[in-house]
Amino acid sequence: MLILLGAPSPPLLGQEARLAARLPHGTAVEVQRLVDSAARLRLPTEPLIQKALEGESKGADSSRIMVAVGGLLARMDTARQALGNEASEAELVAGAAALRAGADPGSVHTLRTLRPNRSLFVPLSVLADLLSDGVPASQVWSSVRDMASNGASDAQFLRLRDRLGRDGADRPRPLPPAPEHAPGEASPERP
Amino acid sequence: MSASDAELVGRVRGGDLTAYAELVTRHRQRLERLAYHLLGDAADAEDALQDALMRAYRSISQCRHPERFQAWLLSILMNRCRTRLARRDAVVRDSPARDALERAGGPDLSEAGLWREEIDRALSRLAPDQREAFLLKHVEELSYEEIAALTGASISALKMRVNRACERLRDLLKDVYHG
Amino acid sequence: MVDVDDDRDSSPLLEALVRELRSARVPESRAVEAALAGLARDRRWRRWAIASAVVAAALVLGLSLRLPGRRETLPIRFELRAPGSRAVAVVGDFNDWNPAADPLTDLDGEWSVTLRLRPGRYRYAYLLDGRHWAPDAATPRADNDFNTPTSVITVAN
Repeated sequence: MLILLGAPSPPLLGQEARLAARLPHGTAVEVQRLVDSAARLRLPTEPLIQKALEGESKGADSSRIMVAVGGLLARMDTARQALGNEASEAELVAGAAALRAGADPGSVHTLRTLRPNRSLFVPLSVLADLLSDGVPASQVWSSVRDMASNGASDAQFLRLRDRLGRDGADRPRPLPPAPEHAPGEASPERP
Repeated sequence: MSASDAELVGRVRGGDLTAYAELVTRHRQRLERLAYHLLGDAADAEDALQDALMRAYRSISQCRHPERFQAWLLSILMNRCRTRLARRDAVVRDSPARDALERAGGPDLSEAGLWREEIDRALSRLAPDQREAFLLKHVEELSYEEIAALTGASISALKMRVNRACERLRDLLKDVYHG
Repeated sequence: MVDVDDDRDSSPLLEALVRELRSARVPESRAVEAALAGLARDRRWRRWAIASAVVAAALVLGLSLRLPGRRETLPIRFELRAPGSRAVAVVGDFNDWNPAADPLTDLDGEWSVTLRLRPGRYRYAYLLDGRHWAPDAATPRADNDFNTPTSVITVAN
């Protein structure tokens, strides 16, 4: 991890009351340090707070919370390097999600060059969702890249996700095809 | 280069009826097609669409996202169509006896016009919310997110409606489809 | 190529049906012309009304639409079928992962709530009876940091 190792303890720039109210004191202090780092780096802080609160609500231990929050901070930093300093908060969050799902920073940067004047929030979200859904990375990337090249709208990206995602007809299927379930039933849990 | 929807909405807000004419003409094909398929009757569809267009103009100040004028207008049209359907007596209901009778004595259905008639009849037999979801998804090619925003239904409910509509349409048309 | 999305919706019959519905002409409609004519008549009538009151009302309405500080939200409906549960909540990035913030309402085992969310990407899950986490079958799965199923929704303008 990158940002704080070996650095002197930074002054706490602010106390986030939600962290103090919900997390054990030591964890709250450590998470607050990461939040303060993000603030100094001009990276979004709210996603880090939400990640910590998610861990708390799910009963995760402190080390797991720290790994999750620190990992998100690192990925947002990488996303900004790929997207440029002008990237919006929404783009950084979606970019971090895409990186977590397996996209490489070079691909994220390529998307920026293909769609320089429009937000990448939706294309990056769709990229993240399809990779998380297990759609083969090559198929996802070629579709997203081609659509960005051709000036596709956000709505068209969302339709791509409908087509290739978990229930989509264009999603590659293993042979023999998976048994269908009746309409209205939830999809089975993924392992 | 023609003005965008958002620019035209701005002018309509200032009372420019010519701008409104240009705006609705731009979208009329989709509106006419959706109204007709939802209601299954040309006269009803014309009335519902005229009603929707007049309401939209009078309430143009409530279009909070001018760049998404079409979606806003579609939601008004769908409300008008739903109101009509709720008031209308059921003309065609699911009826096993009727289905059997029609299949037994049906004419030659290989011509395109008769195929179209069968499609219209099958559509009219869908539950209104299933028909609406099916048309928006497969004919108007909206994403589930867009349809959810238009209808207020959840994505899971919409997927269920579309699936049921497809099953019902397959069942109603399987005997008359010559692929 | 006709694109029929869901694999359960796909068949030659349905593809032919959708092709027909997309391409065929519908009966001619005069709705646009009739509406414009009606609106033009209305406008001529209104010119006879008290014009200053109409203009003043329009100005006030116009100004109220531009008040600063309005953040646009979109209604998002969350639904889950859980007939055996006594309590269901949706918990996520939009409510500080607080299980008490947004309970769902039960109607014969179909639980639902509508929340207004600003555009953004939100991780969330359903919490059943305060103990069991369940994903949303209708939306994509999110990355899993805490070994529980999590979903993600993208709310976009």
